[in-house]
Amino acid sequence: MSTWENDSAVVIVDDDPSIRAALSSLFRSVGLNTKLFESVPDYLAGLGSLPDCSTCLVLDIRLSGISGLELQKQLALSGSKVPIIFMTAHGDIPMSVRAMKDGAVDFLAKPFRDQEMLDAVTTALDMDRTRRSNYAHAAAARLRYDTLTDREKQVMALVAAGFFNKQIASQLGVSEITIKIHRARLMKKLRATCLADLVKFAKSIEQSD
Amino acid sequence: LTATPLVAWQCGRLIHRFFFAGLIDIDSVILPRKIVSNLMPYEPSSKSKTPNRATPVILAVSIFVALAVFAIHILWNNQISISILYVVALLICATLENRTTLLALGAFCGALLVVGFVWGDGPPYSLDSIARSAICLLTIVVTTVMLLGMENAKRALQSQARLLDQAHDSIFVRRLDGRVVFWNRGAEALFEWPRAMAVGRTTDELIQARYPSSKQSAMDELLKNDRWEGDVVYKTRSGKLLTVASRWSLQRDERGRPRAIIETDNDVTATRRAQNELVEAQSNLQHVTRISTLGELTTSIAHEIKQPLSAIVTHGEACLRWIDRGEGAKDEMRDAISWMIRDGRRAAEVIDNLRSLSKKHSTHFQTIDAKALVDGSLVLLAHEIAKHNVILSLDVPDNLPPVNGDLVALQQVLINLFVNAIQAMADVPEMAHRLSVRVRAKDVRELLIEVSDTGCGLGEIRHELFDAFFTTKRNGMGMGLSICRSIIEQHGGRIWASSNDWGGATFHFLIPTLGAAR
Repeated sequence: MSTWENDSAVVIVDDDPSIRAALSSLFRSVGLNTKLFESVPDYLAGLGSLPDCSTCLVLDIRLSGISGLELQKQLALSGSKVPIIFMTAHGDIPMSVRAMKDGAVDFLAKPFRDQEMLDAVTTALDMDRTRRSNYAHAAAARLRYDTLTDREKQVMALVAAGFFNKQIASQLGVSEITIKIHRARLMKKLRATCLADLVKFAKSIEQSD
Repeated sequence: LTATPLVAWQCGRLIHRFFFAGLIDIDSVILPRKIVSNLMPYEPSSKSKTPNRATPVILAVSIFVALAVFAIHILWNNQISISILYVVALLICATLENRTTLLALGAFCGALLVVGFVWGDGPPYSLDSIARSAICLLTIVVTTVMLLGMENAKRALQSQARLLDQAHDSIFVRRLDGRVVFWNRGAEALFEWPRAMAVGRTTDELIQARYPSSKQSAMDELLKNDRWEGDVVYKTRSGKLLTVASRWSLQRDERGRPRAIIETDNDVTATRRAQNELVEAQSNLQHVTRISTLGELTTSIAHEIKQPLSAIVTHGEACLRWIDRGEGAKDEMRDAISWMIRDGRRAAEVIDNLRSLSKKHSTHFQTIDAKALVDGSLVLLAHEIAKHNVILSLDVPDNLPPVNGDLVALQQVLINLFVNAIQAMADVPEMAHRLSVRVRAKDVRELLIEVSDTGCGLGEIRHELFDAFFTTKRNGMGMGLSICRSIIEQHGGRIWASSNDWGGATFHFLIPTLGAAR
C-alpha cells in the first residue's frame, strides 16, 4: 500500500445509508477523505463542492433513478476522466463487462473484502494522481512554450525533429550563428538543460495540441 | 239444582287441564302415559291398525254407568238428581277419543233420560220433575259438545306433534337440567338412540356435546335471547362424531320462568367437511402462487439480504482497522457497531417477512394498519423497483382506519399487483416508470387501495383478468389475479381494474374496515 496523502478523496455514491457509512469508516480508518452521496443527481449537484484533489468514485451499479452505469456514460461524454470503481450486490456479469469496457477501474461484488476495495481505491487514486500531474506538467509546459517567439517555435520544432543547426539555417534562410542564438534562448526559456529535455518537451506540446 | 251445569263446566275444565296442561308445557311428568303414547306414536300406523285393547272395556263401563243411572232413576223415581251422573258415563267414554262413539253415547244418555222421564216420572208430570230433567238434558248436551270440542283440539295437537315427530330434522325437548322429555324420529335416526331409551336421560349421557365456545355461554345466550344457534359436535350412540347446525329455543311457563329447551339439529358434517376442504384447497393454492411469486423475486430477495450483510462485513472490517490503529477511535467503533446491529436486524426482518410469506399458513385475521401493510409488501420489492428504474410514489395517509384481515394474504395481493405493474412497465422501456400506491378511507366502512402503473395498459383483456388460468405472460400460471380476487372476496371486499387516461393500468380494491366488520 502506498502512503496516503491528504490531497485525495474517495467519493461514494450508494443509496444504502449503512453501506455509505461502512465505506466511509473503512476509508477514514486508512486516512482517506470521503465524500458521500445518496444518488446520482445528488452527486452531480455536489460536484462543484468537491475538493480539487485526486479523487475516485465508488459507485453502486444499480441506484434508483439514474443508475451507476448511466453516470459513467454521462461523465465520459462530459470529458471527465475520474476513475470509477463499481459495486453490486449480485454478480451481474454482462453489466460488469460493460462497466469494465467503458473504463471502470474495478468491479466488486458485495460483500467484498476490505483489502480488495482498498487496493482498488489505491489504484484508482494513483491513476488519478498520475493523470492530474501529467495534466499539470502539460499545462506548465504550455505556459513556457507560449513565451517563445514564432521563430524560436520554428527552431524548436526542427531541433526536436533531429536537424543539425546548419540544416536548420539553410532551411530557414538565416545564418548558422542566428540559429545558435535562437536555440540558446529557447533552451533557457524552456528550462531545458540538454537536447533530450527539449525533445521530451516538444513531444508533450505536440500531444496537447 | 241450577248449579249442575256449572258443576259440569268446572268438571270439563278440570279434565281439560288434567289432559292438556302437561302437553302444552311439554312436561311428561304430568302428561298421562296414554296421551304420551298417542301423541308420539313409536309406529305412526300402529294406532289405526291395532285398536286399543281397553276400548271395549271402557265402552262397556260407560254404557254400564249410563244404564245404572237409568235404573236408579226408575227405581228411585227421580227423587234424587241421579240423572246428572250420565255425565260420568260421557267422561269415561271421552277417554276413547272417538267422536262417533262419544256422540252416540251422548244420544244414548239423552234417550235414556227422556225414556226415564216419560216412563218413570209421570204422568202426571210435576213442574219440578220437568225442570230437573230439562236441566239434566242440557247438562248432557253441553258436556257432549264440550268433550267433542276438546277432542278436536286434541286431534289438532296430535297431528302437530306427529308432524314434529315426522320432521327430517332431529328435534328434541329437554328440560333445563338436560333431561330429555321429547325425542323425535329425526333424533332417533341422527343420534341412534331410540326414544324409549332417550326420554328421561340427560343429553350429556346420550350425546356428549362439544360446543363452539362453552355450554355455559350458549346457555347464557339462550336465557338472554330465548334462542341460540351454532355448530355443535355430538357423539352418536355408536361413537360417530357429528357436526350439527343446532338451533335452540327456550320455552317459558306462563310466569316467564324457563322450563324447557326445544332443540332442532341439522347434520352438517358433510357440508362443513366440504367447506373446510375448500378453504384448505384455497389456502394451498394461495400458498403455491405465493411461492411462485417469491420465485420470481429471488434476485430481489437475495439483494435485500446481501445489502445489510455486506454493510455488516464492511463495518466489521473497518472496525478492526480502527482497533489496530489503537488511537481513540472509540466513536468510530461505536458507530460501526450500531450500524451492524441495525443491519443485522434489517436482514432478520427481511428473512422473517420472506418466511411468513413462504410458510403455509391457515387464515388468521388480525387488526392491520394499512400503512404497515403497504410498507411490508414493499420490503422484498425494493430492489425490483430500483432494477427497473421505477419511481415509487406512496400516498398513504397516517390516520387510516384499521382493517380486519389476514396480513399474509393481503400482502400477497399487494405484492402480486406490484410485480404485475413492474413487469407491465418493463415491457414499455421508452416510458417513465411510475408505480403509485394510493390508500383512502372511502368512508368509515371501507378502505380503498389503488395500485397504478405506467405500463402497457390493459386494452381488451380487462374483463378476463381475474379469471383463473388467464395469463399474458409466457411462463405465467394465470393464477395470481384470480387468487387476489378470492382473497379480497374472502375479506368481504372487491377488486377491479381500469385503464388510465395517461396510459397504464390501475387496480383498485375495497376492503371493509375493522369498524364495519364489528
